[in-house]
Amino acid sequence: MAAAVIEVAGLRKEYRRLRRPPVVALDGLDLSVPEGGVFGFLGPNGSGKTTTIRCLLALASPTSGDCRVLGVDSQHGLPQVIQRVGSLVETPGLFPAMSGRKNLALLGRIQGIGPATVQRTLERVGLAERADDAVRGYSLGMRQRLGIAVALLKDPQLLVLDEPANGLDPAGIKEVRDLLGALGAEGRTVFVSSHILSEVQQTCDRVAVLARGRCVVAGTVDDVLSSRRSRGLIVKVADLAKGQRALAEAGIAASVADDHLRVDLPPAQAEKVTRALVRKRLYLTELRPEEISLEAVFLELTGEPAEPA
Amino acid sequence: MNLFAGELRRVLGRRLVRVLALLAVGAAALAGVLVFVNTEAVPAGELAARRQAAQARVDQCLRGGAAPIDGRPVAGPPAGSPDREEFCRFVTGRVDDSRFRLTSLKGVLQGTTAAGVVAAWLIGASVIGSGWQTRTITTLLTWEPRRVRVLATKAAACVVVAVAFLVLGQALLSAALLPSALLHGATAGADAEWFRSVAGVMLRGALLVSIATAIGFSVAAIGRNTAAALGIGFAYFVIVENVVGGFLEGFRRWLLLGNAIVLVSGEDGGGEVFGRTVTVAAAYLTVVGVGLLAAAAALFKRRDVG
Repeated sequence: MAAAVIEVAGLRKEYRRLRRPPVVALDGLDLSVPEGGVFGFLGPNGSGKTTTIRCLLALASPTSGDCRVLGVDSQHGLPQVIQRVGSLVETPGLFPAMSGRKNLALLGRIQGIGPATVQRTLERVGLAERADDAVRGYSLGMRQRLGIAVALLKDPQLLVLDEPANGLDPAGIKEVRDLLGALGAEGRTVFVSSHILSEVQQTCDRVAVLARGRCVVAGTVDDVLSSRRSRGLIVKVADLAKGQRALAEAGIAASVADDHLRVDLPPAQAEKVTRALVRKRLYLTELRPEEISLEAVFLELTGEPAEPA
Repeated sequence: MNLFAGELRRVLGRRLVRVLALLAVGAAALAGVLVFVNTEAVPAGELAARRQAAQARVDQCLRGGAAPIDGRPVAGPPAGSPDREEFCRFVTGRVDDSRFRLTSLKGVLQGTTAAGVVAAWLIGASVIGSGWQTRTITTLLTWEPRRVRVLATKAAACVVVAVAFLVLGQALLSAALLPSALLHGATAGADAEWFRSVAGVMLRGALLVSIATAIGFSVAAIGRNTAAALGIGFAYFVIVENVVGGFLEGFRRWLLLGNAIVLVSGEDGGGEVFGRTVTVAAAYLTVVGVGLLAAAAALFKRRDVG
């Protein structure tokens, strides 16, 4: 495995409250993000995604545990690597009275980034035409694009993006998906938190799912999908009731769902299904392995519904 | 330096700063026009004649004659009264001289310091307060994570803008009064010593404005809100300065307003704080400003940023 660009060990974060018990946002989180590709960081509301990102960027200090970014302790050594880390935390904080270009130029100046790079970055996020308008006139989606531009401006080795598709229309979401894929393909590491699971499934190479401040599963998307619920079979026959009875007689559990039967057998045992049905002169119109979505795994792991896209 | 240049541009780009600048230009222009309209050139011969006439009235009063006040004769004080001459000079000795005296500029500039202090407080408080509100602080920290450096740079940019605002405002006001000084004015007393005292007023004003900026900035940084700084400032001046200062005489030497008056006046023991020297007032106010800034920096370094 490639070297880790983000390493989190035993990260705990409590928010103290007056006369009330503290809120535990992170409860011993362990996480390792390898170099290169797009890493999806998933979890329901309040699971600790943004808190983790804040700790990584030294915007919040952990109660205990370690965070390392590009090999340095993020709480003390971040200034050494900050020029290689681009980030977007929640909705981007920008000066509303200034234009998008000026916002980027003022930030870029801190690291000696010139107007040509600003222009290229604006073009990359599709904001070049509105670059000279005041940010207060931007739509939510345009602000989000500008936030992504802020993160990209440094030409970073590591991108940390918190819900980058927030507020974007479907076309914008696709553009961001393509952009993240392209950035990952360029050899950068893109660490992205998101609640749009279908997008994550299409974009990310690896994912980690967070629930109640802990990482409940992490790995490649395929590993995560196959590690949980065993895949079943989708079976279509002309008469679903007869098919279900035939399978039951053969000792195979099946349930009727919409226009098909869902059979609790791994794909490798599909032969048993065909044999049981043929025995009762029932002929298959479709037989295929069940596809398990990331959303289903998410629900199973977190016990909570995914947020609507 | 890049961070400072960026912060300076952000402060200058704020609407509040532009509105304050516009108000300052308008106020200076209005003052220039009003002073010009209400002053007039008085030829030396006519002025001498007016002085003679005034002296004649004083003499008449001293002789026991009726002193005309507002055109009506009023009897003077009894003969032999120790205040007799003072009374006569006060009542009848006034020379009608409506020229603009250049030497009065010093007092005018001292007066502008108060407006400069209010503007400085507003600039300092609103720059950091809006940074929290718009979350630009968060964005900035993802580019420069050294928090003390970020806060100090922001404060320095505010101080530079506030001091420039005061100095340029005073220069603008002086320029607006220039036509009155040249055409309706008298330059008597405007010697090198006077120019040094005016420079002193401006320098002490700049110091006071710097301290006010630092205090407004620090309070807003600690409260993470512009309104917090404005509210605390209002409460301080209404409750602490008036109520506490009114009841606890000994406590008044530690209040800001009295020390600020001593500093701007440039006179040891002046203002409301008995025995306070200008140096001690300046040092005390500086300690308050720097102390609050240090407290804001320490809290900013420790606390989480949303």
